[in-house]
Amino acid sequence: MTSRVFPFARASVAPPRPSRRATGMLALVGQAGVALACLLLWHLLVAWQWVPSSGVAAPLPALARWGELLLTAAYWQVLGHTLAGWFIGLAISVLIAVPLGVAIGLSRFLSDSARFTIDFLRTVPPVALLPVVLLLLGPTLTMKVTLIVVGTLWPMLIQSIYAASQIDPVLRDVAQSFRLPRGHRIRFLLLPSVAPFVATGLRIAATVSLLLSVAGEYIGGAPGLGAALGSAEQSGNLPEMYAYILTAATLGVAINFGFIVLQRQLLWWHPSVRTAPCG
Amino acid sequence: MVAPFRPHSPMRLSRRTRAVLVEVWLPIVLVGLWWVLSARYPSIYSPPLQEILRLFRELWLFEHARTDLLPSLVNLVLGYLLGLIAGVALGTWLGLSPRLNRALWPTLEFVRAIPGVAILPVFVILLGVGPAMKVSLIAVGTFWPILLNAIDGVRSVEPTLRDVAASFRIPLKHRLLHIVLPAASPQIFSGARISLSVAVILIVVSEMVGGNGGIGYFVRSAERSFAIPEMWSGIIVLGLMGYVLNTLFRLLESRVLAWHRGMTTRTQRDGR
Repeated sequence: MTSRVFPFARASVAPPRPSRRATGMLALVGQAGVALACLLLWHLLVAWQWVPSSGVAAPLPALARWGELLLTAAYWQVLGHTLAGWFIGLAISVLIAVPLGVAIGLSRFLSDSARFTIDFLRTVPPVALLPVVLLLLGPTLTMKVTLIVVGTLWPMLIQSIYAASQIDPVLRDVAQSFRLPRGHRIRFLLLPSVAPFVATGLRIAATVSLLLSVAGEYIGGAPGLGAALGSAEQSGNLPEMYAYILTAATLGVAINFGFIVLQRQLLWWHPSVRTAPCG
Repeated sequence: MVAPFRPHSPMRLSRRTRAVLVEVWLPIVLVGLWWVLSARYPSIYSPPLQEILRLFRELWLFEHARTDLLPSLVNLVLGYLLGLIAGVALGTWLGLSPRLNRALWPTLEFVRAIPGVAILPVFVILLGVGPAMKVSLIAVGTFWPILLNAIDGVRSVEPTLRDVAASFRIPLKHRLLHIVLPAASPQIFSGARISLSVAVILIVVSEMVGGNGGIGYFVRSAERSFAIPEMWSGIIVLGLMGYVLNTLFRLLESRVLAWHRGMTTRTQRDGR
């Protein structure tokens, strides 16, 4: 059975499968070549003044500045602020959305009742609420966390509702007729059916959460990566600005791959993972 | 099986009305709660809903809709279309050439992981705060989900179909139009749906930062001047905008992919 996910699909592709070891090596060389070529292109674009040097830093100074920043405590503090908001917001959102979503999804009446409301609230762009939370809470961690919870709650909730409504009716009936105790029903019926959908929701939410965290810092001024980026921009320190942009990209990649690996580790038994190409 | 006997009572509502009632009671209750609570306990930050709606009528029907909402929508649609076209074109190309795709993959993954907000400063420096910045930021932000899903969709064309096309030497143009793109379209649509919400976020963010007009700018400047009811009216407009765009998208999708839904249900039935 394919796991069709409503209303989201895969937010990321699985890595293309290298067929044999030799071609794997070759592919690796090609991938490194492309990455280096892109860096070179970036360098040349700046060196030849094809892009205004007032807006684009050359790659070498940016990477050098990044290297310097890596050795300062302030840099890690900034990173810590962003990750703290990201994690706390995501955790709260999961703790609310999964139980609530499963409860709604198990009842036909509740899921019909909640459909329109959730559908509407999910389409409200979360940054629209930034001014409100900024007014109420100021540029703080709480503000960021609230913004993240508001933005990631809906995708998680929708995935959980859908997951609970997708439980195989045969399995449900079997559990019923064998009168499985509640604990076993949760452990052997609910969790395995719900987990794959929640995992997908979590991966989407993790990316959204990072985006909102940075947005809250950049626009709202809460301490973190976005604020550091903004102050580098304002002081005209281009290499530092690019160092922070590269940091944000690295964080994004790390979060994305972290969740793909986690999904494979925890859901190794699920068909969607078993049939996926293992990179 | 014998249908259960159902006496016809006047209390029984028709199925349709029941379904509608079940869907709308919760929103009505929630809005009612907001109305009553905000009227009874007014605070600076949550003015009475009545006041917000009055301002909504005064401001957004239709004076500010023309000066603030329309430019935002134009920028949004332009950027979205640019991202869509570029994403589908490049995605089809990469999907058809697996070796190139494999070589580009790590670089693409890295570049796409940059949160849209983080490259906003670069766009502001390079393009200023005008519509060019907003359109290109949205184009870049919407490009990635569509690209990745287009690659995925094109790669998932049935191998038999691909072999048939190859052995009949169907020219590239026809292969693209009649085999590859239709097969990839469900996946492209799911990418486009993700992109739509990204685009709405980015237009709001870029206007909040960039200024000079637009719905995001309106909300942000209302907040800065502590015009709280005005701010709330703008937020309501943003919510409605998101909902309407999403609904339009879904209508389009069900129209375009009608053949697909018919096909999958049929194969599912045959498979059982």
